[in-house]
Amino acid sequence: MKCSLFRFIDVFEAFAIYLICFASNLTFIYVQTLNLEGSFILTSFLKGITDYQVIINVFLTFIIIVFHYQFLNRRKTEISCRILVGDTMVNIVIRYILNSLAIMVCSFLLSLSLNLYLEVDITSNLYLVLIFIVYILISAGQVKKE
Amino acid sequence: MRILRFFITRVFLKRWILVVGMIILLFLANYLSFTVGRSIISTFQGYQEIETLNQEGIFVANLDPNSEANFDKIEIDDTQKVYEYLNNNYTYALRADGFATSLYNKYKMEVSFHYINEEAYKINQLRLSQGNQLNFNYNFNKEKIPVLVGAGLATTYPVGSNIEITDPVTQQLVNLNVQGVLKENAHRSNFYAPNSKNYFNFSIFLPVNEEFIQSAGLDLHVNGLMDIVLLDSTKEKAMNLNEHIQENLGLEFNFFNQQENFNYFEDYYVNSLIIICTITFILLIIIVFLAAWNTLTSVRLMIKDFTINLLVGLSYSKLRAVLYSYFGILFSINLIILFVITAFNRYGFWLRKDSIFATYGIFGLISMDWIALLIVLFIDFIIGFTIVELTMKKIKDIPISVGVLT
Repeated sequence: MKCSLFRFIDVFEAFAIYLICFASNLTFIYVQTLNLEGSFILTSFLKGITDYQVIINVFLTFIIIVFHYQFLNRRKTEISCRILVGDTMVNIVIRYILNSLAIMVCSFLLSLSLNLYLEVDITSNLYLVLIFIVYILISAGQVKKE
Repeated sequence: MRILRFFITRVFLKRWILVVGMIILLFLANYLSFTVGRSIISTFQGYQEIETLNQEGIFVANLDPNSEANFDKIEIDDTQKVYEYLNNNYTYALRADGFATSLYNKYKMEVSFHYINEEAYKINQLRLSQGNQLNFNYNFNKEKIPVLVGAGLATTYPVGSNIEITDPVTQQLVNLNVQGVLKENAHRSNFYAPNSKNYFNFSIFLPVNEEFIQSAGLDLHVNGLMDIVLLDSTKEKAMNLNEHIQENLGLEFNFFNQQENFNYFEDYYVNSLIIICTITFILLIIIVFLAAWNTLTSVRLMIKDFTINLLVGLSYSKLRAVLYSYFGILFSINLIILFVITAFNRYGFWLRKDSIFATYGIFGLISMDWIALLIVLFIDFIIGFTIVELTMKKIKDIPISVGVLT
């Protein structure tokens, strides 16, 4: 993470947000595998939520957009300063993409342990990974100086 | 008002992604609270209905889930024997729901027939909006059968009108006379799932007497036995009936008494509701935490605008009022979205011609929806207060000089 725009607190925030998205998706899938035939009240309550699983998950991924948006807005001055001391915009963008991907992959790997613990298919979170890659690539276009 | 408009257009909407993020998080919190609120209200209503059966001397039949039931072997003669035995030795409440049939009506809905005997009618107390209560002393095949119709059928079949139809359980052409109209949204909760309800807006209630039972087919006989309720009985008499049913039909029933039912329902409801409330509470905490995070990041980006305005004369109390108004607008947007989704869902039952779920209500919403919306509003107040006060604390913690330079 040398020369990275990310400080420890940013890494922590991004990591936690990715993890929340992955964990919520896994929880939805896990809940559907539970055998709750004994309690119709619980089943219908959970069904009222899991029916909208995809919408809720996609909504939750929006907080990743919020994170990247506010992060890049706060780093505009720093990017200007870096360019002043010899860095290039291309390098900054590449570093930003690689760092963001690294944080997301780390979070994904940690979520895999949750996959194993809950005995949920390990490919369940892959569609979220794809969504996040798209978000990261789009946000890379927003890396701008002041 | 001008300050609020200024902040919304020049400060908040300038970073619209944060506003959309906040609306999404608050909507998730609202949707969750609404689902839970409605589920609890519905369960409570169902519990109140079922509580009427938790009295001394009442035994509720329940097909033993561990026994093997072979319905193909059951003959009409056998069921008639059981009903004869019941009529001679017991006072019982019989009710068989949901015999669907096609009957012309204004809304082109499928109509369901419900059969109810006098004892079950007394227990259930169906409330009427027009006409008279059911009369059970009629001669089957000789007289018109007095019936009650649901509110959705009242315009096509008003009180006093006659309906000629082939009865789904006796398969005979019968002449029904509309005696009364049920109140809008009259319903019955599922015995084992009290939060699920069947609405009787497109139903016809037929009074069942001994003569009718003897003329009815196997469907009504077997269906009626499934939820039969013995009144003024004892455990010993219930066991005798169980033996008799087993001997004739090969079905094994459990007959639960007041205490057993009470314990079962208390355990079942209370535990389920505790689990639902716990899950909701945890999810709400997570969502509020994310919403607070979203607000704090917004403050980080907007601090310059806040501090410049504070520097030129905006007081903290006015800023607090602006924030409360802003969140009030966000919550209102969410409540409107929630209202529209719920109304659309309710209207969907009419579009799909789903007669047992089609309901009447103000703007399409029934009473439990409105109460759930009130619960959501109350939770919104708590969330709004938490987030605004947190935001104010954050803003106050940042010195004006630092804020201006950010």
